[in-house]
Amino acid sequence: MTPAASPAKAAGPLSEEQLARLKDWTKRFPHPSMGLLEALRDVQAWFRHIPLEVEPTMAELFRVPLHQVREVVTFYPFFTTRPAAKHRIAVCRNLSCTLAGCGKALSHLGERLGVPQGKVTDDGLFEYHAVECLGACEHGPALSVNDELLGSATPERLDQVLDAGRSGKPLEAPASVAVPTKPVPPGSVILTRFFHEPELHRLATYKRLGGYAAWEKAKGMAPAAIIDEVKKSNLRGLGGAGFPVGMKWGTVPLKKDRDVPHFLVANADESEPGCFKDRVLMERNPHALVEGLMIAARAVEADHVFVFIRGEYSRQLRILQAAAEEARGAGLLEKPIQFMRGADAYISGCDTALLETMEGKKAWPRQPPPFPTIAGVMGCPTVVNNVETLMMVPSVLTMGADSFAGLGAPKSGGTAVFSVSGHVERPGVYELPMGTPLMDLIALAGGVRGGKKLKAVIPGGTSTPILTAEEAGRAKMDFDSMRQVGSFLGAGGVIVLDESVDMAETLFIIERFLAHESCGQCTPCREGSGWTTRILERLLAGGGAPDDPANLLRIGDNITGKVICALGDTVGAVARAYLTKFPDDFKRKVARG
Amino acid sequence: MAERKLATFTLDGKTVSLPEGTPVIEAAKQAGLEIPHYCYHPALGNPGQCRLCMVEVEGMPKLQVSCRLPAKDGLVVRSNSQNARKAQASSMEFHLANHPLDCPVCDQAGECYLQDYYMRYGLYTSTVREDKAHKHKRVDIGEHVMLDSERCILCTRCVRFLDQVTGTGELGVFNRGCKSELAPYPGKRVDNAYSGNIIDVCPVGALTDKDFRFNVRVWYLDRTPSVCTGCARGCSIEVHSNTKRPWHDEGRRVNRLKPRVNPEVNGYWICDEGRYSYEGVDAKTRLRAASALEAGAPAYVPSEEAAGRVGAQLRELCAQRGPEGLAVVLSGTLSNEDLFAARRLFVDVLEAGHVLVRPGPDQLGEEDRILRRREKVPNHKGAELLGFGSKVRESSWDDIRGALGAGKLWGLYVIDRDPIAVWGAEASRHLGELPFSVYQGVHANKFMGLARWVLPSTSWTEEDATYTNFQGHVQRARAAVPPLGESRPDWAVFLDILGAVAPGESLAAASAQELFALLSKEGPFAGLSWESLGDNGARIREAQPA
Repeated sequence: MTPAASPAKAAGPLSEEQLARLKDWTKRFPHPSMGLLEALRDVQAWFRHIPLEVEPTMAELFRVPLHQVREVVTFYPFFTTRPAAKHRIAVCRNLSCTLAGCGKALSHLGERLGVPQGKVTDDGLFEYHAVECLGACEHGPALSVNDELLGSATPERLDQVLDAGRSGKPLEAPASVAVPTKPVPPGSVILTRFFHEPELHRLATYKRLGGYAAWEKAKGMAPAAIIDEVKKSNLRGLGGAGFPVGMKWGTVPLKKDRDVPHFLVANADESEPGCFKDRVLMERNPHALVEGLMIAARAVEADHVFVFIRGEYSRQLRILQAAAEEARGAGLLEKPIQFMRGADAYISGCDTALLETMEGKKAWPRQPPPFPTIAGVMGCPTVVNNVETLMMVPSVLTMGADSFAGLGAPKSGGTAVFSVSGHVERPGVYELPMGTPLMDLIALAGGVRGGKKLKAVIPGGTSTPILTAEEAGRAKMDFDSMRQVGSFLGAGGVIVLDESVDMAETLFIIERFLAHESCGQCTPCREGSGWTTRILERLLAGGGAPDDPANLLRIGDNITGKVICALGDTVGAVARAYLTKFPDDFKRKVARG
Repeated sequence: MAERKLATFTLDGKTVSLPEGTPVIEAAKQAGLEIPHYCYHPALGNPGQCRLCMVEVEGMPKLQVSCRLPAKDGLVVRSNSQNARKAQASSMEFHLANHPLDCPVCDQAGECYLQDYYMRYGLYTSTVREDKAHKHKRVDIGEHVMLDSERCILCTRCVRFLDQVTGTGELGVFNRGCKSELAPYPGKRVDNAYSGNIIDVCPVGALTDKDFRFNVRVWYLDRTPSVCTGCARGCSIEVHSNTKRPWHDEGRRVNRLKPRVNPEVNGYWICDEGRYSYEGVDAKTRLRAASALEAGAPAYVPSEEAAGRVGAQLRELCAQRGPEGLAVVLSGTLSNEDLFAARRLFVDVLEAGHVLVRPGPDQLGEEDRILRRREKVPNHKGAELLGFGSKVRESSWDDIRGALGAGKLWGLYVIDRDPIAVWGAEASRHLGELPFSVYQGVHANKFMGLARWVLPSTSWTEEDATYTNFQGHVQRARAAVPPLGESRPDWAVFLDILGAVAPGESLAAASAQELFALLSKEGPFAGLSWESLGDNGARIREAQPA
């Protein structure tokens, strides 16, 4: 394909400076195509959309087919094909934020701006959208403007946003709510232990509290020895899958056998509704990630170290970049850390889809084999680990694998940082040893809000099957225990639901999310998620048919186990949990219809 | 390619042996079993998107997509178990959940894999109460292709064809989730030289052929294996024709051409030039009857009588004025049998002074790295193998023009070509003054008006014949429709003339098959037989021309 524009000179609406900046993106990463999404973010910022005339230039510069540029632009909601408002206000409509009243926030914006959702105001200043999870459930209803999280969408805050937008004065992004706020005795928590230190994100503080000692130790260890230690620690992947970390690292081919570049990627694309712990951890304890990355890079012989972070975590990105810069200045970085941002696609958080996004493509998950550790980014061995997982690695070395393992449950070592939202007194992140009873965690978050009766708990983010109050009473927070009660620990996003919650509505919110985030690659998920959502929508609107619940169950079961990735499986698995555990909530809708 | 180890495994109770790593879905095909699928295409890969080709594998807890399941020793696969069938049916249900079901007005009906698979693997009762998704309909996306994106099931075969085969990348799947839509890149049209193939690979009615749609219902079509005569590649094709219901497609007998899989020649594809070349078969320019120029006007002569009279004149003129004054312009459009008979007549018996077969500027065109060849005739290689250009000395267009201008010719016999198109109109005077001239061909041309004899030939869809492509691959084309009017195969005309010129020298053959038996007795065609050519043909032994 030969795009019409020549990148040698400024084409269409691009100035020479802009073109130079785009060219810079082509050189930033090991392959030009890897810079495509970042470059498109610049274009979006310059023109408030991606002008069609710019696409051929992008295709040529980033060495991708022209239609791939368009596919990327239309796949990721961050990019628009028509001019967007100067301030794109997003209010989360997902579960925790619905429970927190996002509807009110949206109607407030409607009244103030006098335009419907998605429409740009006449002055070109504002548009507002109800969006899927922003990763700030504890602030629910979460609010962001132009990919900057701005706290809770209260009427007062929204008015501030509008005032600031009109006056042109930027609003300060608020710090994340962080617990604990006072010192915690050593040995019970790891990553949040020093959260009471206001300057924990600074190198000096981190080092004073023992930081980078593990890295010093690792430098004296052979890669295989580090992997062995991690294996012994029972550290599991904390992004949702719970895969044993040491085992994953052990599958990376050795450089001496296959001399190609190795990649290490911290998956900071936290997007599971109900999960926000990675955001808080990166914001408060960024050096733990930097240190973890260095140790992991050594263990898997990584040449390229990446942090792939969701676009809305702008504040966290700045903090991480500052931390990496401090570490570099202090000579602590053996490999430079590169940062890449997502563009509002939940599916990018799936490791193989993340690889596609990094390569400048639509986030269509791959179908292993080969697994990423054999053929990942640009076909090279790639280890993708969740942020929190990598942050745990230094403690494995400093505590010793046995102590780390001993802190947790039998096959889930150490602690985990849980995100708690929904109907609790104090939504936020709480770190507890693996295997802690779920009810203890809820108690730590202040218990069910307003003393109401507990109806159900989502234990690991909305993709995990819901637990009845009775099941929640038996559940323990580790990977294997959670399976015993028929659910998953997931990424530890706990959403507490009190007796007022309607499960048909809850399932609708979750399925609507999954349909919105389905990548569209495989048929059962693409068609089934939308179909399920539309049936639920009809049911909620009073048009339920007697066989709807049975049909929903059947459709869901036909998806589960027959799709490419876990998102599709979730469509069916969550439907089954809600429909079988709370049948009355669905029957009632049918009767009404 | 290195020989791969054979894997022996069980598929629906049958034992199958195939190279290790072959996708099970492909193995099924070779074992005569069908596993339904949309996205998989042997030439376009196995993205595993449609999730229709689900099979059960002993020892694996989850069903597997057979397009991504490599054959391995000892595998026990069931594509027809209850679980597999249920998964296939549910995949069908998802594919149809948003499909418009406008079969009565859809041109794909009758050859649609949604229809066929629903009957074979679906047969569920629809529970869709929701409104179906609406997308763009009747989108004109190229010279030959119409898109209905509501009907599209997003198998991405067309996208992959344009990415991998032509490299032109006109189509993409834009947006995501249930809003995903197949569309051309804004402002682009699918106008590459192979665009028709995306219609063939589309398993549903999303991409239809602007040229064919609404002309004939596909179940009225007869299908005849044949060979494309558009260039020296000689792609394997199927001729789709309708002679029983002449009220369809304005009476055209041949309605479309489709590629036929032949790994040795064209793989899965054909070019658009070839695909739409069938229009000539029923064109108004077709010659239907023989004529002789009498008092400046053509007069009807029955075809067989005409051949006899031409033969008698040839014999007489050769005897009176010598064979060196006769020029014969043959063509690579002629079959092996035609050229074999022509060689006997013009070279062996008449010993004509000039013989030309080689394609000149009149028969050369574009070529590429996919299929298209520069020589726009199907059988020049056949002519070479029959000795034209080597044992039979060839003249050029220029040689013949020179002889004509110098008054050295008394006769010109032209088959399927137009000297005026090559030499220009100024040659008309000399041509008109020739005491003997014949135009024998399928279509009318400029030279025809000056020729003393016009003899109508059958088109390639109307006769059994063999052609030898540029690689030396010999293939059979079969008659799909009867000869038009009084047109006759060229070899039959040559044999009749031969009978009139020198009855004792004629060939003992009354059909193309018998001629092929004679021409394959020795020389490069030796070892081949009409039967052994089968549908996909056979390669000649590289040998000296006969």
